[in-house]
Amino acid sequence: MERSIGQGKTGTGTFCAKHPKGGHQPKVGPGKRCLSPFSLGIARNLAAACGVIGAIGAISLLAPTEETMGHAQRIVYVHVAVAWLGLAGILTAAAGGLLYLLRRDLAWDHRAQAAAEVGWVASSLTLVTGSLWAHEAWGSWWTWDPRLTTALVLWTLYCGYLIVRNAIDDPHRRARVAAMVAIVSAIDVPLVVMATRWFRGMHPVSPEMEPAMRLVLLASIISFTVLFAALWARRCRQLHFESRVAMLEQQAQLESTDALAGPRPTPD
Amino acid sequence: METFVVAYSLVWLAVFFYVVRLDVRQRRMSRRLEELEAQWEEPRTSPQPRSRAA
Repeated sequence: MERSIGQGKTGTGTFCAKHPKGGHQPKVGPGKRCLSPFSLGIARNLAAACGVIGAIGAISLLAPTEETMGHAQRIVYVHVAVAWLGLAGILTAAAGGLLYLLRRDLAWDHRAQAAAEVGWVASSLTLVTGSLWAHEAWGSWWTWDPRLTTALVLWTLYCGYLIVRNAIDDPHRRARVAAMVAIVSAIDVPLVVMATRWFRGMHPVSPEMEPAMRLVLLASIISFTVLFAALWARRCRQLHFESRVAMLEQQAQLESTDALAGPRPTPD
Repeated sequence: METFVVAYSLVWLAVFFYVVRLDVRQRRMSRRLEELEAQWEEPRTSPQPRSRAA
């Protein structure tokens, strides 16, 4: 059987560029496409969809309305969830970067990049939802409160990480520099977490909540974590796929250059 | 009530746009792969050129 451009051998088994993650058996024969890991993808998406629907239902129907702020207090359920994911994103990116530096495997860099992208979305949403909540609670969109400031610094660090990644072409050099940026950025995480305890500010420090409110908050955190984990996993697979396509592009380019050059003259 | 609705709409809008962005990138990469496959197959299916010696 002739080897297609999308298929090749890896160290662990047959590799298919359409589903480069492996772990599945490709169909054999001309014109046949390889199987994709549908069951895992569907299970992940189903879990994320069920979680999202459950969270929306719980926030709208189960959570009691707070007396002082009314419905605006419900922003907290999503704000806390995305804030946690913003912190988890940079920690995952730093862990991925560290593992890349130790093992020099680009798969860890892809995981770090995917975590940083998803974390950036979560961090941006933290600032937006926090600002909306602050407008209702404090009558101001923004104050230079320590928690708010450290959260803004984290968002800026995410931006820096993504800009640095876009500025470097060589994959291994990009992975090295990005790993260092992610590890340095992770220092901001304890500052964000402890800002309300170490410095005096306006941001609430673990306020008292009714048991029903706590339950809804927990459900919201879990469902958002599942949703963002599904997005992260999907982006990881996509980055792996992109790197394989780039590799095949290089291979095709080299072969076309060789074909144009023709056979090399043999010395006699 | 409005602030709560605005916050949730923004969150889901952001998630929706991120998913759409992932989909667009995936389609672009799949198209590129198909182009590469076609490029790869072309020299094999086209008639072989005559050799210079002949």
